Amino acid sequence: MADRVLVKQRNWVYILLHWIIVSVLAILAFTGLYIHRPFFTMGTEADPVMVMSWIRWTHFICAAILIESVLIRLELAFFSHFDADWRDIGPSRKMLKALPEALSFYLFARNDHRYWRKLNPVKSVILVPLELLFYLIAILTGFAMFEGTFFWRTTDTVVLFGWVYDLFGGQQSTRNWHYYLFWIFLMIGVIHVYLNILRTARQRDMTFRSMLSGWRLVPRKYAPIKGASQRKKRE
Amino acid sequence: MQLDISRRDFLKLCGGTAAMLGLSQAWVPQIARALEQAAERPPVIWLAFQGCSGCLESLAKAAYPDIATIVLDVISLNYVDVLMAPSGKRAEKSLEDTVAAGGYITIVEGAVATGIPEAMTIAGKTSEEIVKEVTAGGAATVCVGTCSSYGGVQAMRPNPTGAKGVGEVIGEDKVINVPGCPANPDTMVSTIVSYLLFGKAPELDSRGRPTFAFSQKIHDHCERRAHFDSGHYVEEYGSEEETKGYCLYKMGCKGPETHSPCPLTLWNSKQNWCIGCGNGCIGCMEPDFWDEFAGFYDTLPDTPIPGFVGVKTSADYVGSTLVTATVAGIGIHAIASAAKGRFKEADDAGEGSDD
Repeated sequence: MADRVLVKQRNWVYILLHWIIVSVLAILAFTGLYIHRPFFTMGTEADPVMVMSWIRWTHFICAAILIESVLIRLELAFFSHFDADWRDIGPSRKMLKALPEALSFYLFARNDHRYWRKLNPVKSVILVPLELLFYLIAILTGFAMFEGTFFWRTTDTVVLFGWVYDLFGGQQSTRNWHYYLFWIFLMIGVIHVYLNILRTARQRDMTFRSMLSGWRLVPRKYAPIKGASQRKKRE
Repeated sequence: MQLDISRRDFLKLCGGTAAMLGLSQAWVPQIARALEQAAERPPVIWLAFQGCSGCLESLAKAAYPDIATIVLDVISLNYVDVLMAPSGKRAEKSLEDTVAAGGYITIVEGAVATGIPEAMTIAGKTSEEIVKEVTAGGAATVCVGTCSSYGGVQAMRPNPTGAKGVGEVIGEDKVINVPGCPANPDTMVSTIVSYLLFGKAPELDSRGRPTFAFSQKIHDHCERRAHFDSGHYVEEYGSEEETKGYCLYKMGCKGPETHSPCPLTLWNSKQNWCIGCGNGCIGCMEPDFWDEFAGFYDTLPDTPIPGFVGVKTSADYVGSTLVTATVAGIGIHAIASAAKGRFKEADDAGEGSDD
């Protein structure tokens, strides 16, 4: 194993946001499944528990948290003073150039590829844009179906979001798309965890632990030089 | 204007209309004045195209005011081929005269046949010609029923006659849609009164429906909503849950998707409505409900798969297939990776890394 050093690679804000998004997605999946097909009930007719109300309430709150978290993460990726990392996690030119190399690694055409500070080109060029697209679809279809009060105003969603219904081919289709996203995010989750297992099994560089601690083993030549700004160092 | 109803009943009508339009009771005198001052009662042309005449039937069931009051006193129904006494050339003449005089309200029931124009002709003219000719000079066009609003059941795939809503033919901004299968009499009357009162179309949503009636969903005012909220659902017809009047959500009720004032206005002289008598809503007020919401007894009906014409399948099936395929793909990749030794710690991975 090449010479490696422990580097504080992840900011606690990013770690927190990651886990907020993970837990919120899990809650959204569970509550969404219940709304799709209610599979349990509580209380009696005489003493009812408003199960569906609470489940829907939770779904809406979590949806709001998800939107906020994704927006904050995007904002930080571009404008953070400490770690504006969109080049490391998004489809930057550097990533696009290195995509064939990374793909050929996963297709067993080659056995190693370059060191990447955060995500590799396959993830940053393919998975991340797809995931953002799916977030967008989830948010739009969700708002289109949501009728109620937000920002202290009762919304008439047909007036506000009628175009979403048109875009997705009608109201029922919009609902179906929102439900498909449950399966799609499940797929993305499975792929994400698998790729990280694959990577950590090979590198033993504390990737999983770094999602809590932020510290990870990095080849010495890529370790940041003390005092240099993050951006300088990467170039 | 001489009304066949008592002053008291007339004011009740005005009060009911004010409530429907979401106006305060302070508006009642103004509504009364609008109806009274329509001294020459507004001429109305009722065009019936591809449809079942159910909307006219529904209007005939209007309780308050009854059909006689509406036809004889509130409006001047100059042309309605289903109800009118004259026939043939004399009937057509009254249409021509009304069109020539102008300032009339056109009510359209039934879809316009555009694909096979001969499928719908009156007096030798196709429905498209008639609708374009008549609506061009009218003051307002009200489409009653889902057929004239959005095409209706005859527009169901594959739509052999090319049935279209009136809005699609003459322009969506020129019509007021009062959908429903049939349209609700109260909503029809309120829309017309609203037009008489304000001299312009009421506020419409993006589907061309008056927001005073169609801004909220059936679900919002459903009498079974408490059962929905507390998780009490009918699992099958004939069960104990059904006799208790539990929520019909799992029986495919489309109340949560349907914009309509049904639970408030009710039907058949305010006697009952679909969910009240134990059947889930089928969403007849929504565009494309005949394609989109069928089967009516499934929570989330099967949807067509893009690219595969005629193939419909459930989201559950597609979703679980996708996830199974993903897991299988990962399994194969994992086996290949294991064969290549990629799960072992790399001794010379060097810079190699695949976060």
